[in-house]
Amino acid sequence: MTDDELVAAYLRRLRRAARVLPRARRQQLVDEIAEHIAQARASAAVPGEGGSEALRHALERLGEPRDIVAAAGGGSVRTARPAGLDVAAVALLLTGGIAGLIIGIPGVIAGWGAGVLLLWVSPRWRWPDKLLGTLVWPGGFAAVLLLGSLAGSAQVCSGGSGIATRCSGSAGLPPWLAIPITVVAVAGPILVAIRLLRARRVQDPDESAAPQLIAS
Amino acid sequence: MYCMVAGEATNQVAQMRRGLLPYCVLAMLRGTERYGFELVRALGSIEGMVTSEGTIYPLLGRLRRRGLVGTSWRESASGPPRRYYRLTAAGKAALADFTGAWIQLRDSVDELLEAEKTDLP
Repeated sequence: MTDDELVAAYLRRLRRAARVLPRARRQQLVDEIAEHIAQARASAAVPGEGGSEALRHALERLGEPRDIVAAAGGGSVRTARPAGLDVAAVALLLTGGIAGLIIGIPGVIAGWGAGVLLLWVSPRWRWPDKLLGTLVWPGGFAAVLLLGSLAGSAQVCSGGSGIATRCSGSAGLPPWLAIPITVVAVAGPILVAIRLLRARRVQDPDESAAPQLIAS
Repeated sequence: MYCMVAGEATNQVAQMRRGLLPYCVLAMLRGTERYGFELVRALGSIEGMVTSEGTIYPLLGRLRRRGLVGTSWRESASGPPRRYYRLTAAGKAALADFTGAWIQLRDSVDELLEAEKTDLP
């Protein structure tokens, strides 16, 4: 293995271990460790023959990637709250209203409301994301269906969950307007759901720790 | 009173060391800027201070996010550009606070340990 391959393999292991960290922090950590290695190589007295030995030594002193990630707070990630409730929150926001549609409007509010509740009590989202999840669209798909049925009573929509809905109808909006509106109405909640699932943040030891302590 | 067995004491000392490390980093930046590799090597060469040098970088990140250290890029005559770390005003204040508290604590503990020693038969 050449020196470059050795470094690449180490950084690959670090990147893999660091997947549990928030993206910005992961990038920062990998950058800094890569810089450290570059500096270590630049400072090695004799490049070439002795270089490999010095590099191996430098990597050994850096330590195991998973230990470095654990020091960055990555160790607490696996023991954090299970993601199940967060997924349930997003699922209810999207489709909770539809399940409630059988009982009518109160059902819609209850199904979607349960999602909103789970969203707001979760420590995994910041408030702008919570607001976004609540406002696009209140009621989730159920609201889209209700609005759709109000907008064009004669429209018949097929498709539905996930894929762009195709509507045909004699009355209501003309297709050139109805199709983009439908796409936006359906894509909106889906994009927000994807964003919410991605924006779930890792429990940050810095923010939960007592403010006067530097170490966590 | 809480009593520790020998192995437990070692563990406690390791925890203390981990708690002290951030202040050691701040102390090493007092009056001078250092680039990552230099800082980490200097800390790593202090006996018993760090077991794996890589773990200092997450600590530096924490210090930076708390506004206790700042960074700036500098060209280097030999090798790639370097990210220099320096103390901020908040970092200086945190270090001064710690220094006062540490001296007091150290003296008190020393005094206790010395007294214990003279009491021994």
